[in-house]
Amino acid sequence: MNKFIDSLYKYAEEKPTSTLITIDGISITYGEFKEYTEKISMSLNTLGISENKKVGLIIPNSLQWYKIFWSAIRIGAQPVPVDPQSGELELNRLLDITDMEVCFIACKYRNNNILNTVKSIIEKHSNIKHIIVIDSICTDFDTPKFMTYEKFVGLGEGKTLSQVYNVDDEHVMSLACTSGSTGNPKILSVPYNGFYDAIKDISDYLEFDSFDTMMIGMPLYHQGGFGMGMQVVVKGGNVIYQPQFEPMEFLKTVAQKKVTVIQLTSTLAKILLSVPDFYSYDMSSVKVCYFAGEVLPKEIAKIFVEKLNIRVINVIGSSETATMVVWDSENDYDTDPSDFRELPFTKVRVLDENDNEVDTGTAGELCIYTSAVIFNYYKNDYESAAKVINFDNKRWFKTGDLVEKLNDGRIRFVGRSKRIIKRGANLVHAEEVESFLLSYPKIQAVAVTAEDHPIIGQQIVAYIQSVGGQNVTRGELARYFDGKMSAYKLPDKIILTEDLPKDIGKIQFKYIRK
Amino acid sequence: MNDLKWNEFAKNISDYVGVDADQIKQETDLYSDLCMDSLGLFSMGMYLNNIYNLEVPLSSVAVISKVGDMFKLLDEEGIPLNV
Repeated sequence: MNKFIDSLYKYAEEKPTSTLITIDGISITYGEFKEYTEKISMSLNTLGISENKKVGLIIPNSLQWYKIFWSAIRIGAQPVPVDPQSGELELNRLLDITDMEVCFIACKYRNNNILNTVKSIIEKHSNIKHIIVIDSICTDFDTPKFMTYEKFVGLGEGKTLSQVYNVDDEHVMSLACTSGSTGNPKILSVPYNGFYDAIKDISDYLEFDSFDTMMIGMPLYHQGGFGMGMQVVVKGGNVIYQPQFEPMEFLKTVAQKKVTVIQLTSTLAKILLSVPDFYSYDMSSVKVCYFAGEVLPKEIAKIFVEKLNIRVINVIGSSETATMVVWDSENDYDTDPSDFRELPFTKVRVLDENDNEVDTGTAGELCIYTSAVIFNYYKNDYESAAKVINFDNKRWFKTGDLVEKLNDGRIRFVGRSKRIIKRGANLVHAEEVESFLLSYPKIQAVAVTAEDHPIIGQQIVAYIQSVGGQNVTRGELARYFDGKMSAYKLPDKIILTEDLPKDIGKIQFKYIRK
Repeated sequence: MNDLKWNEFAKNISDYVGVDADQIKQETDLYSDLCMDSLGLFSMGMYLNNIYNLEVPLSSVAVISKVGDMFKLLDEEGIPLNV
């Protein structure tokens, strides 16, 4: 049994011409999906990819991403989606640790030249046997490990591989990548059957069906953006992604395709609402607006519920757990969207520092059970033991979120137990940015912190003590980051200071954070 | 039109991104030349709105890529605040 592939192929038999996914205006049907995945999995197999082998994807939202991901799944291999904004430092660490044997890359994503970066580091990564470049426009890779996507697809021509991999309960579906607090990535071993069950449970809870079309603002390489789309796909519905978020196109598509579910973050919602003629777009087909990834202000929820008559679902989830808790305007409208309750298929515990449950009205660390809790952090026994705990014969995840237990059984988010900056939907670890900034020769000491921002939630502020009091500008740091570190981790604001403590990063963080 | 002056605008961009003003041209790419990301553009848009006391829709900021586009957007479509 292979729950995802079996259900997708069932729809391919029942309704082969129905659309499965649309990206950048181009669609594939369920029938085409079956054909593509049969063919591409054969090509992967020809390159030696089979059960538990790792397949990298450094590709922005595209149909190729989807086809390759599921082709790998079909033969029991494990896709490793990587943020295409990643620079040299991040890719070096990821390619090292994930054991990829084949990696698919785009040439560029915005200002990030992925091809050049991969070319410059590939010799250090002997585990990678093949790099496949998906964009036909770039051919500047005259080295043996690289091949074009067309050549790759041709490898499977005339061969057949009818058998779908039979998944057991221990099978790892994919390795999801997140950045670790010290810049060392955490690689998540996602449980196949557990992830499917979590997707199906929330899909049932929200009563999605085959008539649903979901339009998603988050990217495919993000476990959340991918997983939310699957909530309608497992019911035979269809899902729409944009290559990059474009507000006017988003609204036009909602009207034209009669989208029934939209997925946004608070930042994306603020951008949509700022479209001058926002209310002239027909959104009458939308029944659910699904928020995730950021704090949802009540005033935004109110606009969707009261002015647009759309049910608002605000979820907290993580790549380690899938959906954990929910705020649902149909049941919870009298409360704040930052107060959440557990779902029928999730369980919540709030723990003190000794892992004992705290009393009502007290804050503690949120610990969650869902069927999708990861098996472990790949090759990281220390973090796995600290975060994935066994309780009641189930895997639970210690989230690092500080929450307060309320009288009515809900929980209220009050902060993070770690120094995480929530910039839009991106999580930025202050220590990672500090560590990279300290490698810049003109910087003597640095402290990175968050500052509230009305649009993007929080922005990154770096307090810098320079060597010999030299000037350090954001511009020169931008050039230093370029190609090495994701652009979204570059501090939004630089503040030069003379009296920063030198052992910054521990107690002194509290000293500068007002 | 809001009668914005290019030199002054370029200086404001320079102050925000920390790149010398003489390197800021109309065709300077906000992403590849100034290493901005889309969220950074919104922050920059707010910063400029505050300086010029103008308001432009975030949705317009979301789709621009050149410094000259930002200048034109504020100059031609910026709505004066408190009017």
